Amino acid sequence: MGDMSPQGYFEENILTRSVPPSARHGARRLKGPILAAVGAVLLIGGAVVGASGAEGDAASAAGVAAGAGLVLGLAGLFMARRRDAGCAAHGDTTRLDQLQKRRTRQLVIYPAIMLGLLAQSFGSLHACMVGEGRLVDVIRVLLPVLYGWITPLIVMGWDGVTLANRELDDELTQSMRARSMILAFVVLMAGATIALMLGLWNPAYGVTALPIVLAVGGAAAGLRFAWLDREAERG
Amino acid sequence: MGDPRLGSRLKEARTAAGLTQAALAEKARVTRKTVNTVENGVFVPSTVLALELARALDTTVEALFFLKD
Repeated sequence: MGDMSPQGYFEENILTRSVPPSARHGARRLKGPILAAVGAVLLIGGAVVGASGAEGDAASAAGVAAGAGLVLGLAGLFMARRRDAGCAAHGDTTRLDQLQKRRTRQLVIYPAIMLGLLAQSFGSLHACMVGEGRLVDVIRVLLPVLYGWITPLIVMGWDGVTLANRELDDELTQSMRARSMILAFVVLMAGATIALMLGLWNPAYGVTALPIVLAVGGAAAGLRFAWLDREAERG
Repeated sequence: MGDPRLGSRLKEARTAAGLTQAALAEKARVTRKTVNTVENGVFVPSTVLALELARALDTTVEALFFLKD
């Protein structure tokens, strides 16, 4: 038996007790989902307050809350995905194959979702341009653009799965990444040039073209990478 | 990514060693797809990757790759 005095109990059970690794791991696993949940609450709360016609400081606070919620939510999702990938990463090549296939699927699905979000944002974009945009309209316009960042981030290998499994980032992947980003850069340059010309003709058209250019540029990177990956599978 | 001047005996060396593409990929710490593309001449490996593959198969780079003339 140990020392049962308060001092002895403290030293034996508090100071010298080590937390089991599984408990530490479990606590860390919860950080991402909790962060994402807090972000979602802030985003939805801010959007609801903004959409209810708040003005002045209340509208500003709602905007800040929604923006912070979006950032926290994305960070939480990123952490959660990275943690899951890291926990399961005991890399055999079959597993790497599955991760590659999942990445390729994401690079096709995400641009499709982004284009859907883009299509629903045009009404809000028009409302914003004529000065009648509410916070919810701003969020609708920004959503496909922010979502559009996900595809190039995956192509660049800055997503949680690739960061947790560095074997995925081998020479072939780096070569495909370079070719994909070259295409995306050309698309962005061409798109920005067209947007500028449209803007000189009619500023409203120029602004309307910008989210399309960003979305198409991001989608080009993802779809090109997915195509090259499919070609590599064929050998 | 490929170069028509580069010849490869990687597939022969791998099968002679009794390894699957997946097993060689694991030994060389790359993905199976990389091994597949190198074997088929679709992707030209860097010097480092060529040395890694040669080491994984316990042979030399010259035994795996050659210039077609």
